[in-house]
Amino acid sequence: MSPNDNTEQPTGEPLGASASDSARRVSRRHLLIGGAAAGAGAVAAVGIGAATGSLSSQSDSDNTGSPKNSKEYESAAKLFGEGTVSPYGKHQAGIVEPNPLQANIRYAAYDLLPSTDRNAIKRMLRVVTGDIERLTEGRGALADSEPELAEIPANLTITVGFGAELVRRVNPNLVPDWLAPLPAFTRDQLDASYSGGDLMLNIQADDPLTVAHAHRMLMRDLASFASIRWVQSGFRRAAGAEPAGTTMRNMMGQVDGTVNPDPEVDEFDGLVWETAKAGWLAGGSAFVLRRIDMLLDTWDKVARSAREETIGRDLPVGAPLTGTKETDPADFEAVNSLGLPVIPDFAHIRRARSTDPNERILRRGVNFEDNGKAGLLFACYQVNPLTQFVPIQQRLDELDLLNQWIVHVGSAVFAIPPGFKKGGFVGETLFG
Amino acid sequence: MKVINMKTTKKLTALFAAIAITALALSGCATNASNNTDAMATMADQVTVTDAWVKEPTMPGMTGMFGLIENTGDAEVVLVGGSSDIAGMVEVHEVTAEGQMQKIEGGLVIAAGKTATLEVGGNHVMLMNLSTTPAVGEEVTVTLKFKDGSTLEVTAPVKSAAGGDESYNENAEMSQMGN
Repeated sequence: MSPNDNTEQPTGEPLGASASDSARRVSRRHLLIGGAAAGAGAVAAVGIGAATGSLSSQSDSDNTGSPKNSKEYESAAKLFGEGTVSPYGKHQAGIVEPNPLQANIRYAAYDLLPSTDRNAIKRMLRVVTGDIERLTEGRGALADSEPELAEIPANLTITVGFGAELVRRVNPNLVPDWLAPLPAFTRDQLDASYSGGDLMLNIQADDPLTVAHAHRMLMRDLASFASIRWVQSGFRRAAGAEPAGTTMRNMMGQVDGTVNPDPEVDEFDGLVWETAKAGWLAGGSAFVLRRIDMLLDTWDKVARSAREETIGRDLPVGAPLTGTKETDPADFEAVNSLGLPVIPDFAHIRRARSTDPNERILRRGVNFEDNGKAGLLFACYQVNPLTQFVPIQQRLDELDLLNQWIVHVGSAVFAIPPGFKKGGFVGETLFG
Repeated sequence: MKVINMKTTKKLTALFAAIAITALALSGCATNASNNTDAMATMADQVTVTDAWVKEPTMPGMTGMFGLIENTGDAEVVLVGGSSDIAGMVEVHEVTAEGQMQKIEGGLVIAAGKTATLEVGGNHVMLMNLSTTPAVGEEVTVTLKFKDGSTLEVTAPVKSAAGGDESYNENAEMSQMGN
């Protein structure tokens, strides 16, 4: 979904809407959904056949409802596959832009080869930047053997993060004190195959093939410099499946991510974005990724009311148990007729909350499901994990009923360098 | 990201051309200055190179440069060779139907308004007798030379690429390349 394409919402009408149904509502979104299914005939009927792309002479639709070729889709409206997100700016793309974030995500961590020294790191980052610039524009990378796969950028963003070892090899004096494995939490059952790394790529797009190709290209280009350490893929709802701004649901069915700083409302500098005192990292961020397995087989046995009390929010809309809407502030003082807290002492949202406004993080969780496991790739951005994520996680580690059904199995911390300009390269400030 | 760095060379070429024309005009021989009707427009002037890249050498001492060479002018241009600080010899090569590489006799002709694609497994600028092995991410400068003697400097990043490995020898070596 294009970041700007949120004015019209799907009506929820069946996709097989007839041509006349489609013609009744002249909404770009509706046409994108209904029109494509109804075929080019329906599109032509409402007069936007020439909106983009060509209604080619080959499009001999027979009005049976199935498009003959891709040209008919092209004629319907701007496709989300055509959407692009600029890689340039003060901050890297893929953190708060685009909004909403893309449907598919892949985190890939690499270990630098022993031979990858400061100069090689610089060359590596230039190559990565070149790939980012071209791929996010919808162009094959240089030396791309499958450039056709790059033609659907689908709002592709590629965000780059540095582990401590990469920074150390460039300049040992520039390693932030927080850029290290997090302090151990008592419940952690960390697996090295989901933890650590010297270089991290966060590849996001609204199309899974776009993500796969972008990563394939980058993997080839990184081969001279680094070896792959782990790959973790996740997903949100498909592009356009629900109204923009809808809070994600996790695999436990919970609305997950309600309380989150908002760049439109909150001051991100000093909370999410590093400031001038962070030197080379100014405009960047500190990133934490935690792979959290969900024990869904036992969770499935828990009654709905108990599930809601575990979190402190209801399941239908994610409202706090003291409210009715998702956005209602939770009332942690409220008690029921028995004098017990409505939001229990062990509830996740009670344990996670802080009265310190600096102890906030920008959460960017996504779902995962692979190899018979399911869960959350919990990700967050902040200026210092030791003073932001860690105290929150320490409280949860100490007491959170949700711990009965989740296990943290992966952990990684990366410095996210600031954005770059055309002609520059990602991480260039590290080289002073 | 395309890398074009032709401005300096182009300017100098134009400057020298202008000086030459002026000198010739003063001596009354301007009509003999060039075969071109427009003496100012050298072949290099009407060429734009984009998407240039050099392949990380996979064979000792040699590699290729690839990219798009667009002839924006209204006369054909002929790429005949070039030079580079890192290569003792720069030639324009083609790959025959049999998969053998050879120099394009007479150079690579690009008709007016057309774009020549230099690609792995096809036409390319061959860099031979390399004095150094360029590493991925480095930039290599190649000066392309056209039939009229004009030149165009191109800066291209080095990238690794699998596939399309060329063979200079007999078929025995081709199968060894695994392609």
